[in-house]
Amino acid sequence: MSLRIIPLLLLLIPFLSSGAQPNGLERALSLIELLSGEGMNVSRQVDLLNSALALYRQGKVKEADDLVNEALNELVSLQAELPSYTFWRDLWLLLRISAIASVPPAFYYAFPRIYAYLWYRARRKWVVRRIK
Amino acid sequence: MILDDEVFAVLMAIVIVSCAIAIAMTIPRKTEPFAAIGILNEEGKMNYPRTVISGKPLKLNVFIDNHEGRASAFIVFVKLGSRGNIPNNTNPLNSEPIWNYTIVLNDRSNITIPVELNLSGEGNDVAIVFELWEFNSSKWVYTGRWCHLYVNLTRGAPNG
Repeated sequence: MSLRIIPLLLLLIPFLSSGAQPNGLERALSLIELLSGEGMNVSRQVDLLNSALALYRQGKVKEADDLVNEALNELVSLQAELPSYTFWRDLWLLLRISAIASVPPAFYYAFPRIYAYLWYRARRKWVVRRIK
Repeated sequence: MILDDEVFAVLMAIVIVSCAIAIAMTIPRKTEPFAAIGILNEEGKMNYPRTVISGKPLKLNVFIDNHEGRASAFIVFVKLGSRGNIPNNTNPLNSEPIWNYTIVLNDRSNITIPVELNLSGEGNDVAIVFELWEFNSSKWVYTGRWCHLYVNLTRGAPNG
């Protein structure tokens, strides 16, 4: 039954996704949602879009469109960097967790040896005397 | 034995627990996302007008707070309802907006927006409804967050 549904769904996909092409502002908002959700800093683009929205409210459509395009271009550049950003973010997280997780084994191995070394070093001038 | 076994075991336990806590704090946690909206009066306080003169500007402030875990775009729609005719958590009010404001907010940021409404007509318990909509997955969706203010709309001077 499910095998019959899959081709039907595949046929429907172009129709389901053939909504109105998003304009520049909507595309910029979608990218802001995507990139900030991944942890990228989009504060500058948010400021640009808020400035554009203020200009739209004042009826300055041309200037507003320019700002939206500027923000959109920057967001598209950031989107191109997203795979490498997520790779390095995840790698850095993995390295930090590995470093912390390696502390207990390192402590188990090194602490008795360091303690013994310091113990003997602190007593190296001691003289052993046999008590009769 | 220079280092007592029991002392070493206690030290090991302290180190292991500390590292477990450090790892738990290092792993990013997904907090429950939410957005909030609130109405304030002209001075930004929670002391609201009860009577509004028709045709005279009503000045309020609307507060929006974003904790969605990402930057988000919001629209505030102001609509007019009545007692019992207000939105709920799933459905917005079915009436035309009389005012709207679009804003993009960074995560964990908020804004207070001045609102000036010109209401006309007459009526008791007119509900001024503020609905919060969010741009989510390429479309504007109602967040289920709203707040409203009941006012008496009069033609003359308010009686206190």
